[in-house]
Amino acid sequence: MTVLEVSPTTGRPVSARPPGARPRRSPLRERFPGLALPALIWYAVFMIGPVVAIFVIAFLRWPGMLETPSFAGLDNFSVVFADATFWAALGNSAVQIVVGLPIMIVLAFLLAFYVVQKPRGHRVLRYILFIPALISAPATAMVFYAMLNPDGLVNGLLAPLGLAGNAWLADPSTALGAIIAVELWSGIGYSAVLIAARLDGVDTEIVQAARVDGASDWRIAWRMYWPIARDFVGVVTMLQFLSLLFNSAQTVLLLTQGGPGTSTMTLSYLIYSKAFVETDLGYSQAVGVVLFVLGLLGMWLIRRTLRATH
Amino acid sequence: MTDGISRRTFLGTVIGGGVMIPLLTGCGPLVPASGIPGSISVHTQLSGAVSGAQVFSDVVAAYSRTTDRAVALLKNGSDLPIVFETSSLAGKEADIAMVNLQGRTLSWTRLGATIPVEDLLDDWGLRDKIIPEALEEWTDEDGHLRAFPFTRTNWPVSFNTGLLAEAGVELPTTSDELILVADALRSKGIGPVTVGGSDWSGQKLFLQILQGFLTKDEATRAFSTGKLSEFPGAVAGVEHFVELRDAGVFVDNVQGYTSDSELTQFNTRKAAIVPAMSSALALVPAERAAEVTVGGWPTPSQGGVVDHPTVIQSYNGHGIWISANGAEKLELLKPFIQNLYSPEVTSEFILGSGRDMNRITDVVSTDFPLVAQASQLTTDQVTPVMLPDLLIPDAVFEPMIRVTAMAYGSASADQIIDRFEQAYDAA
Repeated sequence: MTVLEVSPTTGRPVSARPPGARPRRSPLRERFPGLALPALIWYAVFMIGPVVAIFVIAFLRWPGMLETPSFAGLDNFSVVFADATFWAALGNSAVQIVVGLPIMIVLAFLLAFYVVQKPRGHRVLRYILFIPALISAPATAMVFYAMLNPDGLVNGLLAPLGLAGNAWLADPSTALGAIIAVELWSGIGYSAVLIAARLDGVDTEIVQAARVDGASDWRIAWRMYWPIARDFVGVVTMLQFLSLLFNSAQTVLLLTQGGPGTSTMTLSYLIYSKAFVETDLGYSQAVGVVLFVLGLLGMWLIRRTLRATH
Repeated sequence: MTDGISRRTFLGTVIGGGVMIPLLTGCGPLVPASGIPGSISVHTQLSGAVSGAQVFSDVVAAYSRTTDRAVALLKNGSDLPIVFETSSLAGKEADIAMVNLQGRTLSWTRLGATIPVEDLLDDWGLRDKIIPEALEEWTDEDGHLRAFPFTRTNWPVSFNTGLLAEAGVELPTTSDELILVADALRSKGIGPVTVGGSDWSGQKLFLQILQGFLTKDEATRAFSTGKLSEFPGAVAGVEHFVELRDAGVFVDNVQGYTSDSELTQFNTRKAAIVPAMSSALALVPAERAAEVTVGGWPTPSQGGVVDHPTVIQSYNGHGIWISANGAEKLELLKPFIQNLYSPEVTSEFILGSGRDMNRITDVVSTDFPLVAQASQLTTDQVTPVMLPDLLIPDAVFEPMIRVTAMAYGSASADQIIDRFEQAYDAA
């Protein structure tokens, strides 16, 4: 909380200085972050530190945690960009984002719109939508493994219908789709609850007026609620973009380990695999730098696309 | 409110932070009991549902009682090497690690994370108690014994003769017979060969099938370099694998199964044939074991180099590694490790869990008939082939499993060879 002192005579803030006067540094006690200091220290040590470490390690030859690293220059990046596995991972991550993110956000928005219409049981529905966010990644993976393995629920349902089952997580044509499906399941409800919190703030009188004028639900959703919530949806989209891009490693690790072949290899899993399984930390963090840059570019693009127009 | 900061708040923040940071970062021992004077800590993969886990816990508990010395157990599965390495970096690793020789553990001795134990082998009187071939397998290229070889493994193929009889066929010994058996089983709605196509168990069978066309020397070079295309036998082996796969020898969707699901399928009679290591055979229930015969993987009908069905045999089970921390308390480790190689403990493992041990012994498992059958297979019945784990570079291990998972799907022989070689090239 910041206190703004006002001059009793002029009504202007006291901090406003006359033209030509030298700027005066505020006293230390005013600039001291106070209770924010522990958080700032925490952020510096555990957030900025690792980011710097990513950039440092990307330039090291470090074949395993127990080995002594040496300077590698740009060698790691040369290896990364010449590696077919990296390009496969980049392609899979792109599919994840381009296919998964729009589906997630559109469905989440429509769910949120439905919830804010306050249908019967809408309060319970909000809790139900939030449940996937309360289930740990390993538990989620176990549920989906039970559904998608060759002896699983999905094939069990298909068999009585005379349809052939499939190794959904091990077939190159379906494995990435299965991973995206898991992430959609985890993300849609959570995003819907967040977006609904914003849609709750829309003036119901305007909505009622639109209904009196004969506007359909579809029109109200996309022509009234969407423009109003657009910037907030942008924030949710950014969060889910980062989650898909950076956190898919856990889903891939638990369900497919990047296989078969490189069918489900994503950039974040490649970072994990190279660092902790294949013991090539330099390569791993070179991919980390690429992912960092892609993350920034993606956020900038989402911000540009979904900035407020209302 | 930043302008109201008082000296007391400032001091409170600094002192509070100073107290909290050490608490949050933690600087205690790896496991609480390992901090007790005179105690030792053991980081083991013999845990959970792994065959021999309960016996090991009982043996450790009995040792603690009789010697009045605390032994702290830290348990992990396949992630043990990573956990051990990170704790080793912090200087907090356990005194002993019990883990197999594969992937990243291959470099531990060279990097000083664990100590070579060839001198201790003699000092502690263990050399004559351990199978000489096991010592050879656990010795690195510099002549250092990496760890004390503890458990070993056979990797035979189990055939449910009850299901084979229902399909009107007998145990196959050649690939042509295997294809006929698979057809007959399928016609009765029974799955033929089940294997964990998506994990290491599928990888092992893939490499075993290739060894039907490779001499030991060729296999050593092929698996060390990954250049399958430079070995006609390796290429023939991959083509043979694809031929078997396309002939329907494996159960449907085999590329989606794991080592756990293969055993479940076999134990529930959904599949008639499973290649599984002896420690897994110990988990086959008695009623199923009664209708199972243990043998080898059928020989190639054309072009192979093996005389009999093949069985992977290896002395590479769990080893007893001594860490840098453990090297500081060898006097405490000596009686513990000597106890693990005592005749009584060896018998407990064999009789109580069906484990194959590297300790020289005449004891044969009685309650685990499949393990006993596997250990009694002779070279007149089967041709032993190698477990290539020691040859595969650690950076290649997981990428290779992704390739073999693809091989159990629909990839062609050329695609498999190409991706196999790429896995080595990228390492």
